[in-house]
Amino acid sequence: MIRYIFRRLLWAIVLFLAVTIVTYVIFYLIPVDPARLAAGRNPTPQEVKNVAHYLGTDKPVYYQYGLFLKRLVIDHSLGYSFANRQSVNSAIFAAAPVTISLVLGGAILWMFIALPVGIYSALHPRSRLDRVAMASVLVGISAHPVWIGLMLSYIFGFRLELFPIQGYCNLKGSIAGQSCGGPIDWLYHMVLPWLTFAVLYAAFYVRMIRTNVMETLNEDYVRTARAKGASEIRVMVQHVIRNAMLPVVTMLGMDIAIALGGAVLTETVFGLPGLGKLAITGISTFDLPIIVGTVVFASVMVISFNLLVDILYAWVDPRIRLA
Amino acid sequence: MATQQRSTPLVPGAAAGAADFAEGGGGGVVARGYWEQAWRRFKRDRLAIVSGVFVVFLGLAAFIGAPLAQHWLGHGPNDLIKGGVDNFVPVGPWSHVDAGQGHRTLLVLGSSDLLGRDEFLRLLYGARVSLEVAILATILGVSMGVALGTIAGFYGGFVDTIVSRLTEIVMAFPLLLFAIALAATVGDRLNSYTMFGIFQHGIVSLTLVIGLFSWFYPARIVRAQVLSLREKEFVEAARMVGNSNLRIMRSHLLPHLVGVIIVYSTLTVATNILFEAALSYLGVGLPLPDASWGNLLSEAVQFYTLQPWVMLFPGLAILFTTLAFNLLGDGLRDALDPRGSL
Amino acid sequence: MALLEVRDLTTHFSTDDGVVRAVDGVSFEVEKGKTLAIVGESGSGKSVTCLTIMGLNTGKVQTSGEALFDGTDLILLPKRELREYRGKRISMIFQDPMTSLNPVHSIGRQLREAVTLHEGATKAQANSRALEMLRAVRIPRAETRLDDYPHQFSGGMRQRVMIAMALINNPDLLIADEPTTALDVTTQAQILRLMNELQRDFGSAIILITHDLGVVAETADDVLVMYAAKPAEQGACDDVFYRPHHPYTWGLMRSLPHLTAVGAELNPIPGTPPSLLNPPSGCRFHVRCPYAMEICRTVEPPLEPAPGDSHHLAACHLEEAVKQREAEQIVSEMMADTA
Ligand SMILES: Nc1ncnc2c1ncn2[C@@H]1O[C@H](COP(=O)(O)OP(=O)(O)OP(=O)(O)O)[C@@H](O)[C@H]1O
Ligand SMILES: [Mg+2]
Repeated sequence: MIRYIFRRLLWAIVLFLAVTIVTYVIFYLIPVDPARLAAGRNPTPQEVKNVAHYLGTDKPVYYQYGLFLKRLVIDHSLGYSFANRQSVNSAIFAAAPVTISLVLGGAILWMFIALPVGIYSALHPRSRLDRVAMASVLVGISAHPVWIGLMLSYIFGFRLELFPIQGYCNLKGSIAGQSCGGPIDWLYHMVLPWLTFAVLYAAFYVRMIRTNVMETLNEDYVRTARAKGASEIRVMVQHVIRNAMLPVVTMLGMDIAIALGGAVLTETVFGLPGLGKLAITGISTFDLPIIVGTVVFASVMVISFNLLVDILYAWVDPRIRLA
Repeated sequence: MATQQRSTPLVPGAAAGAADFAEGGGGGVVARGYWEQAWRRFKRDRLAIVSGVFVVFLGLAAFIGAPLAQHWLGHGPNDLIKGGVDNFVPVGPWSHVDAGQGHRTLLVLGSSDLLGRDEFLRLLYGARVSLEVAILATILGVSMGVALGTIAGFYGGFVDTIVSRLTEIVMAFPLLLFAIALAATVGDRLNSYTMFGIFQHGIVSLTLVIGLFSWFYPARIVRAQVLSLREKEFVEAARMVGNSNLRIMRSHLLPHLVGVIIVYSTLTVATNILFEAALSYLGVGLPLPDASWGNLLSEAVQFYTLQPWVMLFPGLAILFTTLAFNLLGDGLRDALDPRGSL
Repeated sequence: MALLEVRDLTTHFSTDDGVVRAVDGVSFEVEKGKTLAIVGESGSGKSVTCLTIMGLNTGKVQTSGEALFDGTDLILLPKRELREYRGKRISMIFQDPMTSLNPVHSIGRQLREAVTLHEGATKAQANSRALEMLRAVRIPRAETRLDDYPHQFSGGMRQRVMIAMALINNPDLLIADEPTTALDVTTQAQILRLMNELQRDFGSAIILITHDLGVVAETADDVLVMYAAKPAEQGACDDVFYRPHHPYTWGLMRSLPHLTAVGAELNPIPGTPPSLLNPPSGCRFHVRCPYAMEICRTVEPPLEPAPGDSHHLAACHLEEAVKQREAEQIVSEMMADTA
């Protein structure tokens, strides 16, 4: 077990280096000079050069990357935005709670939908509810998330005026420049984004849970449990669900991790100032530190969740734990 | 070890793991009876047939219907139509409006934006973009995936480790962010490349970006398939007779992979349509003024509360097309793999 | 009255390819303290017969006929009541030991579950019972292995765990589906002895599915020979072995490995068992039967008693004289071999 964790940890570090290097190289290769963008209108070549020196972009890429690594490891700093010299750390810290609210709330919502529906569908294949569920799944994975968001905000926001169409409110009370805040406002503003975000995933998870449960129901050990005289409920809870959920847990960890790096579409539709929005802004202004910062944050999320899920998986699955 | 499965950055989950795909007669060559049986099963699946017809119809509408419609209506998809805007709101469906220069024209589905462009024509031309990009990107991505998966599965050992690790590394990237960044930068540069005028602006670069993100899933599936096929006698036999590796892969493994490739290509087209629309919606896809469904959606954001049609039409177009490809893919899977091992 | 009376049992599965008639009109009885052996080639419906009795088939099943256990028809019994029987009065050792144990529960937990589902035993009591059974099936260092997981056991050990689980409540009827396939000869003998002890101490009845005719001859009181979902021949063990009345039974006996002067020789029955989706017309065995006559192709032979022995049934059109001649020849061949 210890050796297993150690191996995974080592691999996580390799992954991290690979992701950051590739990010750096790709954006270094982009023939856009950030210094020119940052130097203001109609800069003289000398001005551009000065800015480039100031930003560090006149150095070779490996030097910049080394500097980035050093700053990250020693100062825990992701650098400063080319566009406004604001610290990337603080930009990410400001955006992260929004994305976390969206993703965790959405995940809870979609699991609340997917678990009962998926299990019911598996137990009653081709029943009426199963057919409805499978049809909804197809629509859920075929509709564009942006469109789902727009439809929801048109119907529930504009027509029925139940929820706001746009914006985010801080959970812990209002902050400067915001007119709203506190848990109620937060919840009120998050309902539609959660729904939008959850639709696609709910569809996938219903299908995945249904398939897994159906497969597990056919396992020989389920028959053994029945042969012992276990009730159907006991068979489900003790023998089917746990085995069927193993892969689901892995997927869930990965999906949450990836979304924590920025739920770009939902954030854009509802004007939520999350990490996705931050990244998009960074990309459109070629703000390398912001781009790298968000990518690093997102990959760290993916990698550490991956690690966490691996360990969790090993803990629930004795075949790995004791291997 | 916990594994991750992902097709494109837009789509979570997807099916977990792949086992053996149906192998026709089990011999070295996939028996002809297999395809006949598959076709018989496919014919029974009404939803899949309807979806197939829809896809064909859409293709015809996009590539032949669009220029015809443009001809009959007397204006193009990018033409600005004076009467297409009423009080800063695009007009609704079936409006006879002033097209400027004294002639009137019909906006079948209303206009799409504040410049009064024709929603109907833009949807038709957008279908062309969606289909071209999604299908070409799928061909690109699936070919890469099949090549990598076959090599990894066939050679195993070191090569397999490299390919698998590579896939794992790529999957640790925040892929959607990366695609957006690539589309915004490299893609932007390539937008004017049209492959000697075959394609309109932006298609090639979008295809490359999306294709680059569609190979992992096919690679995984094909690898698993090849791993199990490799152990089968007919591959051993082919090797004994002195076939080269390349030849074994081409003539003995690929025929068995055709089914899985068809199924996953169809499903990948569906996700790539969503992918293209997402990039265009975010403004890093097809350059304006050309129409794509994502562009239409992003324009709709401004006034969908006042004129909900403008968001309804592109949304439904995406929904039906993606749905058709998904249903077609499911139908093909049921037909080609009756044992349900996929 | 017999402990278990099965009457005209049929089990059909509806699949995408059509209806699989996995069991088609099987009847037999098992008395208290007696052993019935079911033999037949792979796919002849042996396992499905037993699973049907326990109500454990999955998929789209259609069952008819009756299975009277102590006078209660298990086929019609509601699931809730059937559960009282399963694992307590009737238990089953499954064919596939590799996959029949839950991979995420420890062996101890799975054994305890079998006890506590039916008795108000404490965990400690259940534990000591589990330990006792593990010892009985000769798991080495049993006390240290209760907390281990199935993947830490070899195939043979898993099979022994399955056997321990089936015997843990001293069932009245034990169904053993090829219980000793993965075991070496000594352990196999030990397991068979264990089953005999169960029979002796508790008067349990046993249904034993096996391919090993030697084991059948040694342990069984009655034999049911199945071919393609139907009974080909059935009766008391001695009758079936010494006066086999069906060409399929002859084939099975001939296919036993012979020790000849030049070494082991195998005479497998030519051909393969038919598809149960659309079985052959007439006698299902006629395609492979060296004695097949015109009538065999079209008319299905009824299961009829042999002359002078109402308990020995066989389904074959051959003349009685031919059957007797062949039977004698085979038996003398076998005798010569063993001699
Ligand atoms: N759930 C099911 N659905 C459809 N067909 C089934 C099902 N279970 C069994 N069958 C079919 O029923 C037939 C009889 O199977 P069964 O398992 O009883 O054979 P068997 O005599 O036990 O063979 P073996 O000696 O290999 O164990 C087979 O053709 C099998 O394919
Ligand atoms: Mg069996």
